[in-house]
Amino acid sequence: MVLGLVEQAEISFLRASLGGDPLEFRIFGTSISLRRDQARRFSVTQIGNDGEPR
Amino acid sequence: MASRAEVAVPAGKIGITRRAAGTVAVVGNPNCGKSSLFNRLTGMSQRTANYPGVTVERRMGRATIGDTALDLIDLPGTYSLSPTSMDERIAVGVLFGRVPGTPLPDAILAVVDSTRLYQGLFLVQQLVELGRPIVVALTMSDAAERDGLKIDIARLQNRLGGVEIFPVVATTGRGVKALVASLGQVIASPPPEPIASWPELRSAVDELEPALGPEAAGFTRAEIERFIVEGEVEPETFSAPLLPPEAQAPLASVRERLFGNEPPLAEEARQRYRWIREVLAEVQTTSSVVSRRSAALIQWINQPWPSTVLFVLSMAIVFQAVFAWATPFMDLIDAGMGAAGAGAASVLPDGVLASFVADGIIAGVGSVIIFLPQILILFLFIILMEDTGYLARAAFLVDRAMRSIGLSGQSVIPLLSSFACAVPSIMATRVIPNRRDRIATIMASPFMTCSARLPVYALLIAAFVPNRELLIFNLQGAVLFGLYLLGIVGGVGTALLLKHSALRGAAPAFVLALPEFRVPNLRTVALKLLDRVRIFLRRAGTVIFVVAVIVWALAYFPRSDAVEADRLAARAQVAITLEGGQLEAAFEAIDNEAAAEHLAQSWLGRAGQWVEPAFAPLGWDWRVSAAVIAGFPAREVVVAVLGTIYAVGGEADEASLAERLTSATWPDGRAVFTLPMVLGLLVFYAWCLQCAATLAVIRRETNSWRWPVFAWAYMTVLGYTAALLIYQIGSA
Repeated sequence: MVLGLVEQAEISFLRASLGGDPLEFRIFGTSISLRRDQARRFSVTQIGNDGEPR
Repeated sequence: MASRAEVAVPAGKIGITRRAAGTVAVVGNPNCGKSSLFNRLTGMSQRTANYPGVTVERRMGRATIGDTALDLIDLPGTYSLSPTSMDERIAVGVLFGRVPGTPLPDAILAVVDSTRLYQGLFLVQQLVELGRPIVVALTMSDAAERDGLKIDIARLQNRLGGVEIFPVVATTGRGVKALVASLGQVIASPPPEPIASWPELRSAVDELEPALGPEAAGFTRAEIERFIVEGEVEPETFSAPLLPPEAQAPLASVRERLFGNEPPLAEEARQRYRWIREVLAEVQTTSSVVSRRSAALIQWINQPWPSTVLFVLSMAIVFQAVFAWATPFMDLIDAGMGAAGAGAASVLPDGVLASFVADGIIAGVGSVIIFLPQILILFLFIILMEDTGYLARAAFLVDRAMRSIGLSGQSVIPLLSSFACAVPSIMATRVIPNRRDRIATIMASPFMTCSARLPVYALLIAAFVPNRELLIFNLQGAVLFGLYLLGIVGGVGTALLLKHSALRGAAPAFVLALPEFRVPNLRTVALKLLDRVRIFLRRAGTVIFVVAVIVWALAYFPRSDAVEADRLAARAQVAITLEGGQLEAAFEAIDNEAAAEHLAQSWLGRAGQWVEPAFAPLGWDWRVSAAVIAGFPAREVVVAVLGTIYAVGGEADEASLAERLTSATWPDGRAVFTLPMVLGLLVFYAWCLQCAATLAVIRRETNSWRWPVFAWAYMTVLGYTAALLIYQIGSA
């Protein structure tokens, strides 16, 4: 949370590490890493380039 | 303190010595370039001390530019004012003036990485609300420009309530002068107006302040804010004092209204990041046209497989450096110390003083600095990994694998370092935020085959393991490999065991910021290296030196006059019949025999005889027992003690010692060094914690005696049991 994983934050998935875990996300120009079971607890909506839900 | 600080400023340079205008706390996120800026601002005027009762270093320094002199405190990196680790507790504690011996800062220098404004501004909001004069430095402004990132400083300044913002480049010093000048002015000015990022919190403070009654006088508004968000936290080192009981009810009602059923910290993040998104949309523009080749390369390298290859490659280089490149320097130190000892022994009259200087002091100093080449290289690589941002990448890469053995990705660099030496490795565990992971890593580290174990392995394997082929392996090589494996098994097993017992708990949140790759600042690297070497010398070095002297004293006293008389008589005897080279050889043999005699009846020799019954089931006679006892404070002395005790001299070459060991027998004529006994001894060495320096560092890093005592007892029992089983089964 302190790293900015909050409602309305735009996040993009970059890649998974060796063996598929942890995951790397990009949020406002910075990379952060989350373990799969933690990432699962966030709910996300896919959005298009216009910022609207797809 | 003040008078000392004044002396530190070169009076000639600035004309006059003056008092500092005040103390400035340098605060920022981890890896935001804070330390580089601090180094740039303070130059060589840094002083390092420890915060009371904890293992975190406090770095202070003075910045002098023009008419302005400021005392700067470099605080550990933190993402917010809600601390989760000891480092963060220190940072927050200093900002609230709760750390004894560290003044409440007169002003704050908030350091924000331009390329990570999103996270940086979270802390900045909280810092502004501290109600202290504050200036913001935007570091890496060159990197931001390169990435096509434009920040509208004036707008941002406006949104931060007029707080002055300075883009700086710590490596070149760009923008630093203006920053210091501004700090000098700001420190004497009233604090900025609070920013309207979370108005509800401010009104909650307004409401609560009177309700707290006269007790509120002891708390600042920022502290009351933290009470509202964090509630009453369990008292920890440097945490806030408890609220008076009568304040509990109003606090609870305010929290209830503000947060309802939401976790307060999540609500704070939501509120503050909403404001940040608003601000960023206004002040930050990214031109996506920038696509540099280096950026593409870094993107490619960060893919799992290239990343793995890079990791293996860089570890291979580290090991090559630690073991191959350091060797010439170690040989040089060894030879230098040997020469110094011999020189001292020849200058001083024979006797206790000569032995004390040559075998106690000089050998003691030698046993400290012999490790320096390896330690320096190891520290250098660890620092380079930290400062390039690679440390986090490596942790990301291996997290899954490390988790399966009860550790976390951040444990990997400390654990790999401990294949050279556990001391820097344990110091490097500070990067592990989770306490349980950190302790498990610390406990696993001493199991790894460090460089001090290698001489013992080499001696025993060369002497007693047959040099023949076993399938495709060389048997000697296979045993050495097996010992490395045993260390890993012991360490991993211990980590797993601890994580399922004393350190049990839910998997911690592993949210890791992955910094972009950046070229490290050489000056910062050099200063950090110096800092860690200093810590090594002070913490580990003094212990190694002291135990070396103690072991010398145990092996020297009490001195038997009879043995000495016999030696002189024997020398006189041979001098009649022999001459030239033969005489020299005879003298040496007599001296070696006498040294062995002396050692046999020294405290150390007696201790060996005394504990022989305990070690006899492992197949060790009193000589081996004495050598093992001598090795408990520092395992590397064992070979020298064996050399002395078997009368081939402490500096004897391996071959003659090995030969002597082969012919060693029990009183009834059985060989002492049988294969089961040697294998048991090797396993004992693999698992036993025979290193006072490691214990001292565990004590320091865990800040308790419990863990070093546990580690020592646990590993000794483990080593003993394994050696016992191997000998008994092997000899049956």
